[in-house]
Formats: sequence, structure tokens, C-alpha cells
Amino acid sequence: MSSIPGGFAAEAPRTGADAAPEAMATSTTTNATTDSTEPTDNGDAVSRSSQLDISDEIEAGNGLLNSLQADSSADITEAGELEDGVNLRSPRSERDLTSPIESSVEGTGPTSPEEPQIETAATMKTVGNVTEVGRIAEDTNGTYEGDTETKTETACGSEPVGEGADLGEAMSTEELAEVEPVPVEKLDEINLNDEATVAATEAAVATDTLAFPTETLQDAGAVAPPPLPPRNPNKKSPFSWLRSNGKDKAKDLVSEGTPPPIPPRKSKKYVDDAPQMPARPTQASRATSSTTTASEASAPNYELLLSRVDANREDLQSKEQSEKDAHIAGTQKLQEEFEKLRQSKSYSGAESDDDLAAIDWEFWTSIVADYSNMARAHPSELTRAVQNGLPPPLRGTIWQLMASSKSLLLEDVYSSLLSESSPHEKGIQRDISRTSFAKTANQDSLFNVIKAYSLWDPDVGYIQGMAFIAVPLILNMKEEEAFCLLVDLMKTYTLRNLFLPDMPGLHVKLYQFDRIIEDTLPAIHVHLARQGVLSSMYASQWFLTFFAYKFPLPIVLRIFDIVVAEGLEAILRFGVALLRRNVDAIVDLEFDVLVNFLKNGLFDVYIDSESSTKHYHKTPSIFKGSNSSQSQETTYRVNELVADAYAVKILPAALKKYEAEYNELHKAEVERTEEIENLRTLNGQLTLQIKRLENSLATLNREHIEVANEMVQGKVEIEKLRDENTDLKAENEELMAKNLELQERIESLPAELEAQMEAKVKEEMDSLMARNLEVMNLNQTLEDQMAALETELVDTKVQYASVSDVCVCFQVLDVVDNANTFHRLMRCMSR
Amino acid sequence: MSSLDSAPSAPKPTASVKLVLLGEAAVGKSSLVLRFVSNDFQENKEPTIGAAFLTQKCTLPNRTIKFEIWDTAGQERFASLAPMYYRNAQTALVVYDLTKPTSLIKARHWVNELHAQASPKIVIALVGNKLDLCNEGGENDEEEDRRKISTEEGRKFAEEEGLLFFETSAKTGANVRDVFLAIASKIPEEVVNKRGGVAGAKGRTGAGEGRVDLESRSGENSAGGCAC
Repeated sequence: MSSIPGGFAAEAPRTGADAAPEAMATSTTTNATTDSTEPTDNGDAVSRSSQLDISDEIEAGNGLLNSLQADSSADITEAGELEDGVNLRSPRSERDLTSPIESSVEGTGPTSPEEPQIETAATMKTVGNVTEVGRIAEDTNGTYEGDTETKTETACGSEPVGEGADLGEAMSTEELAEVEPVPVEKLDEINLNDEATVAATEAAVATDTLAFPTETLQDAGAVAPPPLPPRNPNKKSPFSWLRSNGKDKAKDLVSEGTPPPIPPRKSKKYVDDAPQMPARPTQASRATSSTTTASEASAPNYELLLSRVDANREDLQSKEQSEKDAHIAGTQKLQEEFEKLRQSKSYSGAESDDDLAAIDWEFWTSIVADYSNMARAHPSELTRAVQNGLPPPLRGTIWQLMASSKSLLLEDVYSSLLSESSPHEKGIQRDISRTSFAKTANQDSLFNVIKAYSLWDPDVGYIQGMAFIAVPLILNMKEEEAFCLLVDLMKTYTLRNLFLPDMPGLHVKLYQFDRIIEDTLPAIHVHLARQGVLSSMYASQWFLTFFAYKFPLPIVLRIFDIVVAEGLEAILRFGVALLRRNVDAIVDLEFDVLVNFLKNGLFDVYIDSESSTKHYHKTPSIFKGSNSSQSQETTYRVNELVADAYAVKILPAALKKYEAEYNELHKAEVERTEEIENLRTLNGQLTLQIKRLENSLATLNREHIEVANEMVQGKVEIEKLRDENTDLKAENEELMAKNLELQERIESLPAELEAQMEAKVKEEMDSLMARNLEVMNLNQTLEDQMAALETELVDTKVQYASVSDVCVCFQVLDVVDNANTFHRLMRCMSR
Repeated sequence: MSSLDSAPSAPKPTASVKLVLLGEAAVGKSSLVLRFVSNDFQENKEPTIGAAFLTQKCTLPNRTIKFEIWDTAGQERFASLAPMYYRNAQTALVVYDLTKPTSLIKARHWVNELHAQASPKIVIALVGNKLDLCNEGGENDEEEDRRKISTEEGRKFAEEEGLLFFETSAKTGANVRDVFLAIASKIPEEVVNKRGGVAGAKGRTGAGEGRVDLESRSGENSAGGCAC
């Protein structure tokens, strides 16, 4: 089997056989997580449309799954119990999964030879699913292990060489599915993103495929399978769920209408047929199907390609006429060159140049003639051709045609930019000289293109990593063409969003990646989240360099084929495929080892150990513990990688949804950040205010204490004063009493005095009166005496007259004496 | 895994320390790490896209420190990815090129950003790289001294900001180990014990983080607010 050229055809069954034991060997928790989710969704696919509400229950029961998983084998019940939807997922899924396997063993032979040529990728998916089923069956109940393996072996054994092998296997899967007696209408629930949908529409595609010449497939590196009669697509849809890898959540379930009609079988001259074909098969199916999503889901894995074609065409239409003309002229030039190459090939003879000889000229001529219409008319062929790798001699031409990038106008701009100098020149030169990947291309051309771009788009300018994008372009086309394609990738393919300041586009892509991982690989999602590993830690480089940062050139070219055909979204395919392929390793690793593994080890699984010389290059890696540093001699199984990538179903609608989600989240995040910033400012202000208030409070407190002290002192003083007051009052009263007393005394004093005075006066009067009387008496007496004396005197005078004159004088003197005395007395009396 | 590696040889406690390298493009961040981790040097090392992750153990007398090193891309455009790496880092190496004055300006910018956004306890070392290009005192006549930033200038800046300071050469290996040893010994015991690198990232919603974020930073901010 190792001789199969496809590589992956041989690989897949082997994995299928190995997967189960491996799964057993890994830790139980790991298995529980991985397996529990996967079978569930298989179950969901089967769950009838009338049971849509079950999906809610499933959601609710999610948490219980791990515990239920353990019981699931014991819980196996008959279909009736499952129908009512009460059962949780594990039992139901088990029943759903095991029965087809059983039937496959029983009915290895049932004739269903209708399956025609199946796409490589599609068969891969089928194989993958069988593996999945086998694993689940084994995990839930070991009984079925044998069956599964038998089935896988049968498939492998019966297959012819190469592509045919896949076909045979695919067929048997179909067969076993067909045996499952499920009504058509009940099985039409299909996951939006699910691969089951791919499988579901395989019939339509297959018929389409028939239109192609056999050599197309041969050129695509595969052996054409024997032609088989066309199968009835109505029979196919019922078991589409079986192919489901169950990666998507139940909520994504969409009901699908009738399967898409098969386009009529076309002749080999598909170029001529193209206009008559439905513009795109999905549109045809859209007409018949109930919902848009269903029709999208029913298409094989070329949605991205078609949406890219549309986007490119829209972009071209939106350009100004002169630009458009320049692009159209550019395209014509490319077509002329292609024609020349083709002519030279036919002249020189096919044998002379292997590269040229291997090209399916008819197919590529038609593609070159009108890429966008061809892409719409034959998306599956084109997708397959892209997956198989564009023929190297045509690669550059076809890239440009796909992107319709070549513009004579822009080439003129380029040549004028060459003479200008860019502020980034130094940085560009420095980085080119130290980027080994850049060594493969002409350094000057690389410098010119990157410098010209930095001038052409000053917002982006130059960013490290651009060289990785530019190198593959320069290797495949002329310098100016490379510039045009770079501009187109940046603008139309929105790559520049990833390179703008703050890298908004990168964050969107990373978010989309996260969401796809969350939806399709929940085990990895949970493990990475627990370990704190963010996708930006390992996946940024994937998007910024289209994997060129780690992968060798041949792989990068293949990735570029797909990116140019499908857009940047194709990177998501590869990212998801890499994680999915490494799921067992990832869930076992701890943070530091895990981060290195994600950055450097994911690709190792694709190293072709047989053909590559096991020569490990030691120098360039600084990442210890990672063996990613193989030399260039290491060959990778590129086809397998591409096939894995195409097993990842990515729908533009889902991506848009995720982008909207991201924008919402981002907006909320920005608002939150602003709010936090505002709050922080406010908080700072408030803190300051608090500080100020605290200070003033402290001051106030101090003042308060002072006041309180003062008050206490005042009170004490008051008390003292009050006491004093009381004392004073008492004293006052005393004094008042004294005063009264004194007054009384004062009042009583005059009477006494009067009395005393009166008494005294009386006394004195009395005494005076008495004296007066005395004096009066005395006076009387004296008067009497005087009278007596006078009489005497007269007597004496008469006597004396007679006696002498002298005698008379004496007498007068006497009288005078008497008078004097009298006066004296009177005076005294009056006193 | 880490326990497996350390268990038999080192009975000493092993602690994981998250270290982030910041600095202008082409100053030698990746080369410093390469020298430290592999004791190797590559002329013309490839530019780092996104960030590289490496680990290396550092044995101290009393404990073993396992550095989980995020080597970030230096180009300005990648700066929007940097917060993710330094957010939970306990230590940071801010690298500049001794022969390129603009790189010190960029280093100042990073130090400011770290002070404002990273953990308040983060240990920062300022490292002037490409010492081999400085031919001090004209010891070697054939080579000119390409030094543009004097040791004093770097040291002064480091002292102002409270940073460890080294001048290294990833090419000759001069001082490279010393930087990491100095950082290792500067890390406080309690920081070492809690594993910050992994626990911090909680996925894109970050619902749980928000509250903690505001609180922790508000505290830091109020402290910073006073300084302003």
C-alpha cells in the first residue's frame, strides 16, 4: 500500500485500524471528552426533525456526558427508548453508530454500485468517519471492535490501487449506510458545517465529475476508478449522517430539503458547456431546498472557493473603469503567455519536459480562458485540481488569474515606486538578510517588491513577515506581477487588515479559529483553555506568513495555491486540520511543552518517514524538546495534509457569523476597557477625594476634641462659678437681712433721739425754768431788797440830806451798782 | 513534565517564573534567549513573528527557577500582541541596543508600559545588548567603538526606575547568565510559589478576570495616582 502514489489513500485505513487501540491507550478522560461529543452528534444527525428539541436537551446534558459515558455500554437499549428522546446521548449514539456497523458486516455484498468517481478528499472523509465509528463503537462497547476492523480491512482489501482504493472503501461505507433502514425524510437534518453534508451531496458532485475526462483525475495524481453507473441521489441522503464526524454542535443543525438535483451529464467539452450549466450548483439546489443554509450545506467543500471567486469579481467590478481595463488587459496578457507556453509544449513534444507533459492542458486552458465562470461551473473539479497542487509551470499564471491581480496600471505604478525610497528600507534589508526563507528568492526582487509595497500602502508600511508572503510570489512570477498579486492579496484578500496597526484582521482570524476549534474539536478547546494556551500564542504566524514561517517551501506553495483560490480562510482549514490530526498528543501535554508543540511539532505528523532521509538538522532550532527542526530533506506528506485540510468544512456564512461575534465581543471589550479606564480615573479622583475628606475629617476630629476639652473645662468652670454664685447669693441674703436690720435700726433711732432731746431740752428747760424762777425769785428778792433799800435810801437820804452831800454821792453809786447787777442778771436770764 | 525533569536531580523546590522579553526590533532579544537557553549564537537571527516560547532552568543555592520565556516580536506592529505575554509575567527583560539610541527610547516606553499595565510586583531588568560592538578605550585598534549609549546613561535610567541593569553580549555570552541569575535571585519567594503564567489566561471572554483586574489595578492606580 505504501506504493500508492496518493499517499493518503494508504494512510487513512491504517489510521483507521490503529486509531482504536491508540484511543484505548490514551488517558480515560481524554477519550471521554473526545468520544462523547462525537458520537453525540452522530446521534443528533439521526434524531428526527420532529425531535429537534432534543438538541436542547443535548446541550443541557453536555455536562453529564463524561459521567454518562462510563455507563453507556450498560445503557444500551432498544430503539423505542431512543425514539422518545428521553435518553441522553451516549446510549442513543451508540445504537446509531453500532447498527450500521453491524449491518455492514452482514451486508458486505449489497449491490450498490451506483457510486461513481468519488473525490479524493471525499473518500478520505469517509475513511475518517469509518475510523471514528470504529473508535466509538469500541469505546462504548468492545464487542463491535472486531466488526469495525473487519469493515475497514474489507474496504482496504477490496480496493484497487490508488484513488480506486478510496472509492471502493467509500462505496462500502455507502453500502453499510444504505442498509440502515432509516426513512429518507427523517434523516435530512444536517449540520451546517458538517462534513456529513459534503457526503450528502457527493452524488451530485459525482455526477458532475463524470463530465470530466478521465485524464483529469490522472493528472491530479490519482488513478481513475472504474466508471460506475450513476446512483440515485435520493438514496444517498438518508445516510449522510453516517459520514458525519459529529464535529458540530447540535445547535447548528439545519433541516435540509430534498437533495440537490444532479446536473445533467456533460460532455468532455466542458468549456463550451460552461454557460449552459447552472451558474453554480448551489444555486440550483437552492431553488429546490427549503433553506439557503441547507443548500450551502449540501455543496461539497468548495464554498470558500466560490465565495472567493465572487469576492474577487465584485472587487474587480467595483474598480474604476480604467483600473478594470488595466486588469482585463493584464489578464489577457497572462492568457497570451499561457497560450505561448502551451504552444511551445506542443512543439517541443511532451516528452522533453516532464513538468509540462504532466499538465492537463485541456483543463487548464479552459480555466485560464475564463477562471471565474469555470470556477462557478465546475467548482468541485477546480477544488480538486487546487488540492492536488497547481502545475508548477502554470502556478504563477493561475494564481494571478484566480486573483485577477495583474494590472498594467499597477505595474506602471510599481516601476515608478522602484525609484522612490522608503523609510522602511533599512528594516526590510535587515530582515531579508536574516530570513532564511527569503534566501530562496532573488533578494533584490524581494526587496523591491516589499519596498514598493511599503510605499504604496503607507498605513501598513513594512511589517516583519511580509517577506514570507512575497517569496512564493516572486518565485513564480515576474517582479511587477508579484507586486500586483501582493497588492491584491493585501487589499482584496484583506490580508492588510492583519498587518495594520493593532492587527484587527489577525484578531478576527484568531477568533474564528478559536470558535471553529471550540465547535469542532471541543476536547482540544477545553484542554487549551485549561492550560491557558491562547491561539494567538501559536497561530499568529500561520496567518501572518501563510505557514511559511515553519513549513518548507514546497508545502507553502501548496498552501498558497489554496489560499489564492479560497482566500485567507483556507489558513483556518490547515490550522484546524493540524490540531485535529494531533488531538491525542495535544490533550496529553502541559503548558510549556504544549506551546512548543503547537508552534513547532504539529507538522511532524506529516513527515514522510519512509521517503525522507531521517536526517535531523540540529542547528537552526532553538526550541529544545521539539524535533521540528528537520532539514529540508525531510519530506512531508503534503497531499495528506491538504486532504486533511479539506476534511475541515468551513463555510463563509459561519465565518461571517464568527466575525460578527468577534466584532461584538471586541466592541464590548473596547467599551469595557474604556469603562474600566473611566472607572479607574474616577476611582483615582474619588480616592483623592477620600484622602482629602479623611484629612479634613482628621482635622475636624482634632478640632472636635479640642472643643470637647474646652467644653469640659467650661463645664467645670461653670460648676465652680455656680458654687460661687450660690455662696454669693447666700452672702447677699445675709447682707440684705443685715441691711434690713440696720434700716430698721436706722428708722428707730430718730424717735429715741427726739425723746432724749426733748427730755434733755425739757430737763434743760425745766432746769432753766427753775433757774429762771430762782433768778426771778432772786430778782424779786433783789427788787424787794432794792425797794427796801430805796425806801431805806430815801429814809437815809432824808437822814443823810440832813447829814452831808458826800453821803449822797455814795448812795448814788450804790444804786448804779445795783443797776448793773440787775442788768447782769437779766442778761443771764435771757440766755 | 517539569516535575519529571527536576525530581531526580534537584530536591530543591522548583518554581516556574514567567519572563517576557521586550524591546525594539533587532536589538537581540531572541539571541539573548538563545544564548541563555542553548549557549549558542547565530549571526543574522531570523526575525521573530508573533512570539517564541522557551524554557530554561536556573539553579540558585536555595531553589531552582524554571524560566518560561516569551520572546516577543520587536517590531512596533506586533506591540498589540505584547500585553498578552507580559500580563502575567513576574519578570521582564527590557532590551536595547547599545549602538542604537532609538532603542533606548523604545526601552523607556516599554518600562513605562510595564509599570502601568503589568503586575505591580514585576521584576524588570534593563539590558543593553551588543556589548561586543563596543570597543571601549580603543583597546582593539582595528574595530571602531560603535557604542552610542554610555553605561552611565543606561544605569541612571535603571536607577531612576528601580530596574536591574546589565550590559551584555549575546554574541560573546558576556553577562548573559548573570542577568538571569540576578533576576532569579530577585524574585520573592511568595511570587514563585503561585504559578502565574498559566493560571492567568482564561480564554477570550475574560469574564472572571474583569473584576479582579479592576480591583488589582485600581489599587495600583491609586498608589500611582498619588505619585502623579
